[in-house]
Amino acid sequence: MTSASSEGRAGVGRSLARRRGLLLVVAASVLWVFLADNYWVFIGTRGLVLAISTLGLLVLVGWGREISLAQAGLVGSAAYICGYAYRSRSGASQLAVGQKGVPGLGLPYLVSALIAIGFVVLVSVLVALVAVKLSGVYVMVLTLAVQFLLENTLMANSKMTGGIAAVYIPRPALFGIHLESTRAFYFFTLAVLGLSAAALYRFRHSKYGRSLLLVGWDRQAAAAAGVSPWRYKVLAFAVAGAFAGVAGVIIAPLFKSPPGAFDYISFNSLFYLAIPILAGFESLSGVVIVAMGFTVLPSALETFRISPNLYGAAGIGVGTAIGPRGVSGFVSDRLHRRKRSTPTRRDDSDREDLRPPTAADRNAESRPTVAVR
Amino acid sequence: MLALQFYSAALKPAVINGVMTAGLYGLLAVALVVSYRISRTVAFVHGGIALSATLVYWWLVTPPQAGVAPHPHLPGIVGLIMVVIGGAAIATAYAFIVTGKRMANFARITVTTFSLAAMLLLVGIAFTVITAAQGQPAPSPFGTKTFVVFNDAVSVHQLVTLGLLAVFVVGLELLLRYTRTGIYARAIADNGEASRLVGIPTSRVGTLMYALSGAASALGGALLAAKVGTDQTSILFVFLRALMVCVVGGFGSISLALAGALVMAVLDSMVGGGLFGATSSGTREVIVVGALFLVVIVISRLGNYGKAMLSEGL
Repeated sequence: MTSASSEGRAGVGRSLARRRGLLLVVAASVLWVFLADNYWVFIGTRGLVLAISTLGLLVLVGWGREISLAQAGLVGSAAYICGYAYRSRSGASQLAVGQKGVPGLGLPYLVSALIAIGFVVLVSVLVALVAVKLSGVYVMVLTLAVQFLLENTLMANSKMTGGIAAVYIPRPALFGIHLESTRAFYFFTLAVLGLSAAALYRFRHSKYGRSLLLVGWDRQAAAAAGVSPWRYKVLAFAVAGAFAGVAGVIIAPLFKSPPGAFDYISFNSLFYLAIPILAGFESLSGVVIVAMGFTVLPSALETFRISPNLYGAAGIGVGTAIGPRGVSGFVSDRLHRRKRSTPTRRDDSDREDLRPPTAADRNAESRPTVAVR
Repeated sequence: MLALQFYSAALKPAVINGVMTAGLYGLLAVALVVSYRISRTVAFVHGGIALSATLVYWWLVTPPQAGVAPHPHLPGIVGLIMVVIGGAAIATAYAFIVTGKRMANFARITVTTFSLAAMLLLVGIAFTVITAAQGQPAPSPFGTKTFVVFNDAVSVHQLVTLGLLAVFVVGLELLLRYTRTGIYARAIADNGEASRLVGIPTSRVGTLMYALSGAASALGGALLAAKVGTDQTSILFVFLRALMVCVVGGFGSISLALAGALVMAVLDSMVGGGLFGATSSGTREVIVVGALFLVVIVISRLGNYGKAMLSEGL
């Protein structure tokens, strides 16, 4: 009884500490904007967008255990479709007086965003329907083929990208709030990220999330337990596609003139993939932090002209070497171990943790873990 | 609309051009199949080796230009040999890592992911160190001579590429059939765990096979430099085609991969050459990717044989 109540107190304490930590993170992510100049706020917004798209990839790669090499293509497609649907019919450009822009459909922003997200989810589901019964390597190749397909069709279409002409996509006003300023757009993106992360957290702890983890862990066991691997793999692809779509529809007005198709080529998909692999598959906040790091670091080290591919390589390489728990799991383990080593009396379980890892431990490492922070 | 048009005059040149291009797809596909058979993982590192080989070969043999850092301007053959040796060395280093004690027990999907990191690393280093104008072709190591076959210009470069592929495949087949190392390699491909138990030096044989496949992908990359130049998208495009070809062949068979390379290259050439009317690159991609999806769906519906073929993956 005493032990149960002390465990309960420890649980409440952990929960309070976690809430305090979350509040601190939220406060820091809001307040730093008032101290930084517009350039860094813009870079921070890009980091948040990258975090949104890689959170979707986390669902597919980390929980569903499938590797998609098309995420950059999907983000780019959503950005171009949203931009095309949203910009005015005249294509009026603010880039230079008298300069003729590339005409769009002139739809409201939210409608354009829904169309773009819908397209990307549709493509993801179609890929999933073909890939769902195949083994990992075929899924990789098929998604890479889709990435090339998007590069050569949608992203090669000057109506979408503007070609060499200037394309102007104004920042929208949503529910009476203008997002024209860099700071306002940052807060908008932060809110979207917060909502996305909260939704993923709820999803992960729902029966659907648990079923998806089971499918990713052991497809046959899931089928035996009455969970349809087919349905959940499709769901994982759809969620990843939806997050790519959300990221894309934010990118379109963020840049005002969308980036060139080169930003969404296949190598960028590998760059995206590096983020959840490095962060680990358990922690949503870890993915956000690594995504921010992957955006801020290249900008901070711009003078050294380091290829983004090298960051991606380092991310995947280190992430692979550390294991599925990634950097966040590694840091969390260290902190946990330090906390547990503080008491004077050490019990057997501590000793077990300190023994060198065996082959069985290494095999166990390759299995997904359940907790998601 | 596409199916309604057929320009028979374009058939022979399209087939000839396709057969010649198959050499490039084939070299990369053979490299992928060889490393897959030995490790049961897709070595994306070959994409990195091919891409960096293209850049390095271009840098080694292209004449110096104004405003660009000096190049060694070596003869084409010398550049080609250096690049092939370099490719084999990189693949050997990669093999040491993935067959080493730490990674030997890793899941196959993890090793495949690691190979993506290796590919990015190679590409990142190559593009950081070598600054090349996008798409600038390098001179062919075999000269610029061309001749006409069925109204289509065929270059010596294309012909030698095809010849090199044939030599490589025959050599590999002889190695696998008639040498002890080859028998070991086949045993590992059949059952890696059992091979280790009976005392076959799996790590050494695996490293040798990786080195051979690295040499093939570097050769393919260097030969690509004369065709598509230093444009990374075009090089990746060829690598993707090689991957697709391997999918068709189930990653396990060199002969199926070569047949796939031939079909893919001829199909590409037919559609691109206007056999079915004028098509954009986007339409070509839709057709080729659609065909790939179709093949995969058909194979997955072939019952047990198809399942075995596809589940051999990961």
